[in-house]
Amino acid sequence: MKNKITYLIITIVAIGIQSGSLLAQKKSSDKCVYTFERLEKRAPWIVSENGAGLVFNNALNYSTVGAYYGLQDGDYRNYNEAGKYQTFGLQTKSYVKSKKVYFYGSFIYDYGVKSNQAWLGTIYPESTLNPILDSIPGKVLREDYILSAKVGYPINDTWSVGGAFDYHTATGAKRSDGRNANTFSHFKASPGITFHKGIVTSGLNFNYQHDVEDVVYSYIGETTGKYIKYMEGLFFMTSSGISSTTTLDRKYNTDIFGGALQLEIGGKKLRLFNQMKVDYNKENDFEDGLIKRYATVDGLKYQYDGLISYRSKKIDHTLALNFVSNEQFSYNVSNIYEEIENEPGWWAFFEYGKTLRYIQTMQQYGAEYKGFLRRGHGLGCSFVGTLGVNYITVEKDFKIYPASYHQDYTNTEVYAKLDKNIRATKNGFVDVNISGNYTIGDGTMLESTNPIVTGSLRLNEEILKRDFAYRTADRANVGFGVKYSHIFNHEKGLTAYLGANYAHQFLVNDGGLDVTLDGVLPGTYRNMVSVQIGLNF
Amino acid sequence: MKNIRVLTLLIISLNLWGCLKDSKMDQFSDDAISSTIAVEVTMPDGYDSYETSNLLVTLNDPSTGLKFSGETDANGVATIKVAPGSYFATAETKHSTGKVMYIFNGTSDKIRVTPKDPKHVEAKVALNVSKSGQLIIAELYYGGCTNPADGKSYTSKDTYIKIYNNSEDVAYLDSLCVGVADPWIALSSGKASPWVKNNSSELRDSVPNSLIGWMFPGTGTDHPLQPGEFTIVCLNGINHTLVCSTSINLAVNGYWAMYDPILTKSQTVPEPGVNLMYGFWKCGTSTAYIVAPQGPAVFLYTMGGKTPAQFVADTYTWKPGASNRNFDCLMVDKNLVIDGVECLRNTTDTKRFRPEIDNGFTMVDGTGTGQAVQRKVDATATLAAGGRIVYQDTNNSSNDFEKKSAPSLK
Repeated sequence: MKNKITYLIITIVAIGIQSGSLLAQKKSSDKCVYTFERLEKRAPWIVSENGAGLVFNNALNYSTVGAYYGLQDGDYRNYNEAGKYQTFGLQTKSYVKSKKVYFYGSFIYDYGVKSNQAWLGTIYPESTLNPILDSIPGKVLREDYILSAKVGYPINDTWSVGGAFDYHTATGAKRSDGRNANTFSHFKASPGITFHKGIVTSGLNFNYQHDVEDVVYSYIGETTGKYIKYMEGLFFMTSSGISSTTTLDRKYNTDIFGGALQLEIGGKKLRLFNQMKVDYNKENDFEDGLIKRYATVDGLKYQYDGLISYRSKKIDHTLALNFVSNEQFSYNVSNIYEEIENEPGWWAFFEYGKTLRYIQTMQQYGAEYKGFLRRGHGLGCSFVGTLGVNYITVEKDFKIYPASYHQDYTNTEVYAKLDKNIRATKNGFVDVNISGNYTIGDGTMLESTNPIVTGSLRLNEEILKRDFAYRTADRANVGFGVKYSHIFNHEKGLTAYLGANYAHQFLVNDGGLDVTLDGVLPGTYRNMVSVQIGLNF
Repeated sequence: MKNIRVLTLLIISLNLWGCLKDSKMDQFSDDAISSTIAVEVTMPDGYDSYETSNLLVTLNDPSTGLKFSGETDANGVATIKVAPGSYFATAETKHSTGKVMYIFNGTSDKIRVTPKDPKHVEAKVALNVSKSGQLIIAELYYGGCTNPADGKSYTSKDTYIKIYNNSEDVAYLDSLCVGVADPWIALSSGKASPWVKNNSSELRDSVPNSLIGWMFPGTGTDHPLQPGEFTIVCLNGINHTLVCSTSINLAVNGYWAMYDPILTKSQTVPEPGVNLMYGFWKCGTSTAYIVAPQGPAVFLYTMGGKTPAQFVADTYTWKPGASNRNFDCLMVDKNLVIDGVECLRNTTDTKRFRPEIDNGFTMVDGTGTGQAVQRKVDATATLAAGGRIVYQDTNNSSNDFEKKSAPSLK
């Protein structure tokens, strides 16, 4: 009996100890504190152009699915921006490793409603230098499906191969005369390869991209007094009244050929990642279906992204540098309407060369420091500080003999952000952030020589002034945000979140604009609100 | 060492930016974006004694509306630098001998200067001669207005043409014809007219009168028009202000309406006191006559002594490229045209009149604006005529006409 009791006691204690051990073994996954920003800063290869770079992702499989709502409101906006803009969307994103293959996937469905939208004949502003557009404000509905995917496979310890694929389709429709109906399609494929030896990792990828946008204008109501506009650069445009012969459609076809070089040097504590990307684009613009090519655009874009990472005892420091140079050259195609040879009575447009008409160049320099104050040994951090500066310079030149026009402007922006992560409960934490930026602008609105006085091509001075005022006004932006995350499953890292952000943009000292631009901007502030809800796992 | 190589590569890459712009700047120079046209101006046979030096030559590209001009040198040649395009060169001058004013107008064939053409191109303008007319079109109101009651356009209803005796002698309206040239609305974007000579961009020597042929009735002296007097020819001779307060009262005794109880039976019957024009010919199935509110080419002509039946038989023509016979026209010889005014929608529209009829064009801002085009007063000639209004008449409506915010009858 005594032995039985002893045995029983020993058994109970043993079970208790084991249970305690099991409890002790119920560890919280590091994914509970993952953020995509931290993953991508720690492994910049995974956000590079090179799909093969996915193999350098040492993090656990991590995915998110969620929904969002965004609202922009306020009249500090450019001539081609909506007075009010709401977006609703669903999104999912994932980094996954399966056996030896690394995958990345992202899908976004976005639905947008714009109010009081004018001067936009394409789905996205400034997607072409020679758009058809109209000046009547109206409601615009837009829908986007955006799919991105990458795959990487390590052949051995030295070589990896991979690829990236993007597909984006969008439609848009304006609900008042002139009603433009737009369809947009974007496709990009990028095969790539990486080489790793010692502390050096390098990569090379090529890319091909094809974009197409169709736009057709229609007028349902009375057309008296209504006009359609054809823009050619620097706000020069021709205007046509509406009749049965007016051109109301356009097609913009763009092919982009490019590639990128990546180079990373460093060890565990200090690393330098670089990517140099070059893209050459060729755009052809058509009217009347594909009957008449009226303009063509060549362009060259360089982009450098560098990231220096240093891991100190408590803080992960990152310094990001970037440089962008974008040159675009728009040509006017000479079309002559002639009788087809050997086909009397049949006429068609024939091309007789092209003339360079408009040059637009942009350079952007940026530097951003981010410090992550770590919490524990994983990717969690209690505090993130950001400080950054951007400098942009833009030049535009328009020439039609004997007239020439020039515009230039610069923007210098400084910004800062503080993020604080608070462990509210065992299963929940709160992220709060405050941010602010200040931008000063300067430039020359227009210099001209032998200005055009005849012909149908005219400078739209109203939107020239408004655009220049918008881009060069001194302005500031302050914002804050809060997000609550709740861990449902520590082991699996299953976390739900709900967050909201607010930003208020406003002019400083009325924008510091010249007196000739007084009253040009319809408003002095703009508010931005966003709400997100989702699940990370 | 490796780091130095990497850094060097990065610096080289960064310095490559801007290279494409530098390589394209030669395509942006004035020489690269222009060409030169040398235009030689010549007088018509029999008028060689008149000089062709110091004449203004204008180059106009109808597809873009661009205009360049220059003066002829001692050899009658004007050398002008232009942007790429497809131009028509025009020149004009006038000389008077006693009571007769000779007007010399001319337009070249299309001159193409594109990046694929030679940088220097030569062209000729052979001037044609005509005389300043007795009866002229002094005003055209064709674009209509907007009805404030419903905000809609009130067009193709209250159109009128003011015909004026610009001379010091009595003129007679009997047998004077009023017509509208084809195409009813000018072709856009510089598209060629179907009425050009073979293998040329030059318009034929006759003007195609479309839709209906209208004529003032009478035996020869039934309808005099005194010097300095005018008459009105309208579409609908009613008081339009009763329907649209911003319109005009055309129900005036002595006005003329382009109305025929059979040919235009769907038009409003003119008020008593408004005379009826005689419709001597009609083509097509329409039961109403409309003058294009977007921009007509209106002209006055005679039949050259022929009867209407003979005139129709001699001039009836199938429109080139037309799908059916509803677009046939009467080809009125240019020498029978007394006056013509070309109205366009856009500077890029194709002209319908030969240079000796109208070497330019005029326009209003669009339909429903309530605007009219009126001929300018020649102050010098008016003074010389003892105060009787004499209008400017160079057979070029670009110079002779101006846009007015309201018609003169308002």
